[in-house]
Amino acid sequence: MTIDPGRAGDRVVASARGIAKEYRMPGGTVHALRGVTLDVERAVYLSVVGPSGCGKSTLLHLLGGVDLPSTGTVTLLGHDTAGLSDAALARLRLHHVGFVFQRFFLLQMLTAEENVGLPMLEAGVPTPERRARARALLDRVGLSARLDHRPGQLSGGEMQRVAIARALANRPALVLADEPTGELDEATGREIGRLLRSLTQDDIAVVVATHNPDLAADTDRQIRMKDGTVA
Amino acid sequence: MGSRTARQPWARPAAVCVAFVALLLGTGTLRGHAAGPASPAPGTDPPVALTDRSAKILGVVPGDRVELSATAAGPWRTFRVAAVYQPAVYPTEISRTRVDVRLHLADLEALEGGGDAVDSVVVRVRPPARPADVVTRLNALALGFRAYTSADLAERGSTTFEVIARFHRAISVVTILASSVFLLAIMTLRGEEMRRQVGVMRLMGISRRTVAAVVVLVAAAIALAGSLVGVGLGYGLSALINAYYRRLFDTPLVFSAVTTPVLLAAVGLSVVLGVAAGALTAWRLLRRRPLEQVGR
Amino acid sequence: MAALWFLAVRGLRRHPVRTALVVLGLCVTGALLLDMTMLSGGLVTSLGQVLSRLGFAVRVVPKGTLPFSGDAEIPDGDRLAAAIATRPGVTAVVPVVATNVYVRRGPETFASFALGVPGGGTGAYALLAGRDLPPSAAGGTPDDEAAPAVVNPVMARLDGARIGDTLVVSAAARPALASVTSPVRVRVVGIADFYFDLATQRSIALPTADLWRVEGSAPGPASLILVRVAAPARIDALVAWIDARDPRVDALSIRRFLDRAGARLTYFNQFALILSSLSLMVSFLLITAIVTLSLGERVGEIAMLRALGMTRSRIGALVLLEGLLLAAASLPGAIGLGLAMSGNLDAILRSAPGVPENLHFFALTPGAVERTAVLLLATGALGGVYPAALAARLGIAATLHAEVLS
Repeated sequence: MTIDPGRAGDRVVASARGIAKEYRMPGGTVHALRGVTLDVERAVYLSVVGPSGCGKSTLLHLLGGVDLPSTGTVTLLGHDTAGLSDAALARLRLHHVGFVFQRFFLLQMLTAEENVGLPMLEAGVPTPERRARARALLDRVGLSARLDHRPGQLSGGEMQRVAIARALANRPALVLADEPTGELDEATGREIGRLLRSLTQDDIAVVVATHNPDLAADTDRQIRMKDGTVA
Repeated sequence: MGSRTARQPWARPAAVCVAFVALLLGTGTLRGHAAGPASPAPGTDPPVALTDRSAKILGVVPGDRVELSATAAGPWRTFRVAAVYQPAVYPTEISRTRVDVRLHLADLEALEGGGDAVDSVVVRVRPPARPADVVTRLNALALGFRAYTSADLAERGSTTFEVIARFHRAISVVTILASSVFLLAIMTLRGEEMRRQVGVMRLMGISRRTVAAVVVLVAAAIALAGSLVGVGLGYGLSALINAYYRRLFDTPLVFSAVTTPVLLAAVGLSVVLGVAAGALTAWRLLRRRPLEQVGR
Repeated sequence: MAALWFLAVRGLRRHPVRTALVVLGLCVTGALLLDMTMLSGGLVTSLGQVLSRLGFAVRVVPKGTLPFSGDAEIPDGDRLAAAIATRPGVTAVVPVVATNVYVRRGPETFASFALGVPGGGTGAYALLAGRDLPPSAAGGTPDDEAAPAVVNPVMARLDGARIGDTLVVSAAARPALASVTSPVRVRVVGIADFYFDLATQRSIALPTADLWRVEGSAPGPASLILVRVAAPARIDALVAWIDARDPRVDALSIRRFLDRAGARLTYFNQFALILSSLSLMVSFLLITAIVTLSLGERVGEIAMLRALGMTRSRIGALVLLEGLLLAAASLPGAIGLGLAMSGNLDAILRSAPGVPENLHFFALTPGAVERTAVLLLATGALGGVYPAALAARLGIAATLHAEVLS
């Protein structure tokens, strides 16, 4: 799938227009999102704040092309996600979107360097370039001494920093972080917040979903959500 | 019914005499016309009896004529098919497709032209005489023959089947080994799945013994369930094997039998292996501290 | 593809004990598969190897039989042999008479298989010591002379028959009576391997005319006619000519011989098929179970890979590859173990009565190894299909959500 370079150069990286998401459950239908509209621009550090179950994660999943809206339109780098095949969406995510998860989701059998290099391996980046970039990214997040360590040998904060480095592997336009400090202590959480903020210097749009008010306070813009809508 | 002639080279009387032995043993049933007298009147053909399979091979029915000779070069004598019978089934003869003919001893001797001679004599012993004693006395006569009890002969004739049985036992050892490794691999994986649960249980205060018992019971239950499914499959496969080979060899013999001892051995061994796999898994699980198991 | 190989290999190395157990289990089932592949057709292959070594391209037997499988004879065997000898391409024709005799050495008498051959150097047996038989004289050896004879090593070992010994050979018809008809004195001139002897079988070869004397039968019939042909291209034509000339016989090329022998070994072929199928099924179940269960442990990782940009088909291929790699890793062990097991199993089967010493039930051929490898790898791939489908169908968002909650 070829990304239109003109589209890729737009300031708006991702946008949602009247999106809603419903899940049909045995006990009834759950409205995770109702009529949300927003734009995400490059070099902007945006937070989505709200209590647990308000639809923060669902919004991030839709913006990142991990899931599709029940109604409304999500545009990612100019492409309507609903109009793309599953494979095309996957390629879009691989090259242009980075994810940071609450549970880190590092592969336990790979070293820190190998975890960071994983998206580049999948993208077919040659080995020398892949290793050099992985090391540079780990250096950027302050883990150049932990290249050969496996996740089991890292602290929670260190694992999350590896996950952030991994999210930057293919030079994405958008980084989505879902509760990145959820499993970390306060001090480590602040560190992670500062690291995410620094990504905007590379013209990357960063969206973080959090119920941590301190983390949200450090962002450029806050979107408050409640019961699936923007409050 | 027209008479048909079939011609087969009978090079050696020895093979034919087996039929004589069988006749003496009184096995099989006669079908069709009864056999005629031992020395038929001049002008009439002496009678022979054929097994049903032999009759099918030769394409004859009672009343037809066949020609027999002791050698390929003749002379040939005509015999009348007096009966077609169903012989007793001997496992050793299962795949043989030869033609078996029974005729009166006098006719066979006349055919062979060798005078009064047989290859074997079967003796029925009247109680309280014991066959083993009779055999001993006969062998002591040293007339150039050997006597055997039926049990001795059966044992000698069963050697092939003993070999087959040993072969099957060797194969079953291999399959048991594969199953054991299979079970161990599954239980190792299950053990890792249960790691956190076990850690939580121990943190709650549940004793190591109880935890171990749970793990062993789970493994034994899996093994028992598997063995029951296996027994069912075994019955089904056994029935299929018997049906197939009976049809293939045209025989009522039993080729595969799931007996109670076999059943008990299979289920028992499965449970033992399951318990052993469970014990090993429990040991590996309980080696770690509870906090380690819940990932702290 | 590099990413998939990398992840699949690392994934299997993540749990070394588990992977080792699975590979061990597959080694055992793979070994059984190899053995069954060797068994089906093993005896025929072994027989073919022995037959090819003997150098006779065609064997003429009484119709519907195999050599020495019964008492039937070829009437006028000598005349048929002479006619065959005139055919183009035929370099040697050896009519052979086979029967059972009694041999007396001193006070001991024992039964023996006997071959009547036109003379030495026919190739019906391989001389191990001493000298071979001279050409058979018409009418046989004069009564006042001992006929030459070659015995097998079993007779030498069990009965102490030595080169130079004199034996008395008589027909098997009347052993009960001390007097025998047409006994012939023979002198052992050589010891030979008779190729298809059983482990405890005694064998003796005499000039054909002398064996006819023992039998008290008229010369002429043969039990078997062995034919050497110069050019393999002429074999089929010769076989067709012999069949047409005499409908009482079958002319068997080695291929036809093996087909006929193979038809009598139905039991082993079918047994091998049943066990091969079972071992493949067990391998399939093992791989499917292990890969599926291990998938359950890492659904979060799978969802993460999907979120990072791996497509469904790549995820499916990754899981499938794990199954294939498990099977591939077991191959060397399966082949080694299979070879070791086949030796033991072969020894068990060869202890059955009536099995010649030179024949084996399990024959290792490149084809057997190839078939085993292909089947095992295919089973490994197939075993990964179900878990691959499961992995490919995982919903990313739902799985990530569930992982967080758990």
